[in-house]
Amino acid sequence: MEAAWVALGLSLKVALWATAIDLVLGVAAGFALARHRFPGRELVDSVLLLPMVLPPTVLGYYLLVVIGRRGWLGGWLERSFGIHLIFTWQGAVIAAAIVAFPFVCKSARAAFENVDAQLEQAAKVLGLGPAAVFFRVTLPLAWRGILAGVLLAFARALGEFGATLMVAGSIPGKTQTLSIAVYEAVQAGQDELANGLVLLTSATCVAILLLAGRLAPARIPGRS
Amino acid sequence: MSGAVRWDVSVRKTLESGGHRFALDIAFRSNATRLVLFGPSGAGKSLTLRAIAGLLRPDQGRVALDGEALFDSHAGLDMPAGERRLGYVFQEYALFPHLTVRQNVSFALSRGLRNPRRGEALAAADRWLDTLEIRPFADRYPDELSGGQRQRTALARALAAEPRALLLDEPFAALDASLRIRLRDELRELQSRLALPILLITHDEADVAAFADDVIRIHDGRAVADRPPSDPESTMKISARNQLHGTVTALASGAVNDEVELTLTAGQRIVAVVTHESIARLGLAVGAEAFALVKASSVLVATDLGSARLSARNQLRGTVTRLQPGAVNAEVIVDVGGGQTVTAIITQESARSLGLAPGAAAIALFNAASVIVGVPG
Repeated sequence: MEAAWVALGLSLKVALWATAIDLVLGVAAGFALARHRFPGRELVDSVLLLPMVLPPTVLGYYLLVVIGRRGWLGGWLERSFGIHLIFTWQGAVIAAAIVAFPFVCKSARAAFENVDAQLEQAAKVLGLGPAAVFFRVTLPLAWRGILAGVLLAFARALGEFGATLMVAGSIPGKTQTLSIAVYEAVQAGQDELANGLVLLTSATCVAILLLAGRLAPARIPGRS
Repeated sequence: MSGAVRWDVSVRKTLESGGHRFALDIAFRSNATRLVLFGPSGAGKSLTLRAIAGLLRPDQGRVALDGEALFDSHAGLDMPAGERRLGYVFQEYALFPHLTVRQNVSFALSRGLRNPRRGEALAAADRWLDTLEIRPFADRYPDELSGGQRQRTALARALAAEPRALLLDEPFAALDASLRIRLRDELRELQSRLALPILLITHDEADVAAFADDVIRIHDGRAVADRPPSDPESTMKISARNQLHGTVTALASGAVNDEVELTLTAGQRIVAVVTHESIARLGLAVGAEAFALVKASSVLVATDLGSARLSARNQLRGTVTRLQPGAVNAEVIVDVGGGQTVTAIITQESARSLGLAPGAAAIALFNAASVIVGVPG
């Protein structure tokens, strides 16, 4: 069972990092889509949602093409900084972040579109700059919707399997997350380990949901 | 500021949405302290107000307040909304739903990226909570307030930012009828107390009659030839109870507004503050017939002034002819000679303590600024 705890720790680390990245990028993208009109906006929206509908193996393949040793980004990173992402936990973070990204982006866009633009104008007239309007009016009012998306993204990142396996492989203690460990245990006929892993995964998910219920503010004043 | 017109607005903007095209082409100048833009819904009043506030960028034009340009398409000037120092009260008030009344009012007072904390009392904000009598609700959220309380909160929030003028978008439309009448009076009273110019837009004639020094009529995106509120040809119903007829005996011009002196048939005099434009528009000149409109609720009653020094420049002496008690207030009718009377609404308590009764001598007092001047048609 020692291996199970290691896998759990790795899963949480990867999912947390992926969610943190999605929080920043997804909120920024959702805000841009909700508040700014630019040509090709709906096309951008569709492309950003692709990870939700594409098979994870396809995403994994794309990632290999981009960040692999011979990929245009991966090659450049290796030549310039000696960084390589394939078969590392950082690679798993990138895979999970991309797969979970649409959850944050889509819910953030919807949440921002729900904020009455007049409230932002009221703040503007009262002398606030764009950043202050965002952090003092828009974000607090959209926060609940964004939080829902963030929790879904975390859950998705935690359960990510296909793209992670292709990009980061299954190196025990290094890139073997819980969901991959379950697959490996079943393949190897280690039923006892598989049982333990499955129970651990389920318990973790229940704990996260309970925590989420606690974290969500008890009362956000209603909007008229 | 002398010489400069208070409101100098000319804006053009073409808007298109869903195949529908609307052209806004508004131009007006006014020195009024209480200026009303009046017109039906969809006439372009809100767009004009938003252009003045800097929330809508005109295609072309100029917006200036007291001689300072806020927007000028020729000079390439477009001052950001936040730097114009204009208070804006939205029709539905646009209170921040996630903040308490006190946080809303102190919103503009705290700079940076964080909102004022809950329960954090800033002296400047508390002063406005007191002025607008919303201190008891300071810790409530907007969705826990009545319509009138919301309006006061929105006013307090705008005033706390120390604007140089206040823009009000249909401030009474969201209120029921009885509250509307009361808050109109309150706003007028607040305006004269703060000496803050107000530009109000409305589709309600009653707002014009009760509030306007000057009115700009807007129809289909354009300002149309205006009819002053006291123009007898107007279909407007005048809510002012007191109409005193007389002759213009003096005109004096000031930096911002002019003064008209009216002598009533029995020889008593009334002084009224009016704009330069109104004098020209009404053709007021010494010797002309004119009348003064004063709301009954703007009139105070005294029995003896003694050595009191008052700011009210209109003091008409007469005799109480009637006292009409109501539920809370009493109406006092004072005969000021020449067959003319002045009606005042005062509290029952005041009527009692002054010992007012028919036959008693009384003085009717009102501000020069609360008088609207008209000419018979």
